[in-house]
Amino acid sequence: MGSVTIQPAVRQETGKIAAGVGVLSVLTAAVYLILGRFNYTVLLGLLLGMAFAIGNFFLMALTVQHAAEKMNGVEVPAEPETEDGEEPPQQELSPQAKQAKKRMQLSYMGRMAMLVVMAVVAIKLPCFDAVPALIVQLFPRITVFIEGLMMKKEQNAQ
Amino acid sequence: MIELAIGIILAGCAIGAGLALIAGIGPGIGEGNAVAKACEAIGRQPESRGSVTSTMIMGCAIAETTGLYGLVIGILLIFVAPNLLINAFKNGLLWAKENGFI
Repeated sequence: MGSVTIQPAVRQETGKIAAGVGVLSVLTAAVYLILGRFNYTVLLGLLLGMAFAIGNFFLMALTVQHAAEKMNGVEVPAEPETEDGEEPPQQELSPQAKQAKKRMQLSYMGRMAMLVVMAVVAIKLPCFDAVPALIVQLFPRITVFIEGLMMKKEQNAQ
Repeated sequence: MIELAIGIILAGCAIGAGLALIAGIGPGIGEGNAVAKACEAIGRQPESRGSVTSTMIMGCAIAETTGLYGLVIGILLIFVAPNLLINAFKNGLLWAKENGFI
């Protein structure tokens, strides 16, 4: 198997998500601590959830990168120009784009199956608290939302 | 009677979990379509690959959350909710008996 070169975009976005998930996980741990319910199972649940959430995002980003790399040297004809306000006619997808679509759908199914396995492990094994492990899965979305807000603020400031 | 009520609770949880997992279908289809269109955009303008890839990754992350919500709810309904609901039902029954409602 050949080695995979990770694109800077993938590295950068995964880094941002990892940082966001880390900060939000620390906040979750602090909430548990304040409520007096923090113990090692919560910590292990958070760590398991964090590892899975970041890994899941990274795998998704790698699939996207792979799909983009498949377009190297492929020329797609420009969409036909239309009158103002008119929708361009639907064009057939190129074979590479169709392949990328299938690959992405397959990757999604695989990652969801992995999430089910992780959730079952977190619920069934007594050393993990399932609730923090599952809550962490929602943190990448919150991180993207916060990032969007910060970008908007920066644009407004400029 | 109690067995019937517990059966209804378990059936409700199983049906609810099944319904929640329907939410997992949409993101898969949507992500596939988004990636296919983004790939075509890269094919048309190879120089914009970096920015398209970044936007595509973020878009996929957002789209995927809907599926995750459904999956998490489904998992909670299968593994966590039945015990909680059955215990609540039994406690309610006990309370009703103690207060002379039954």
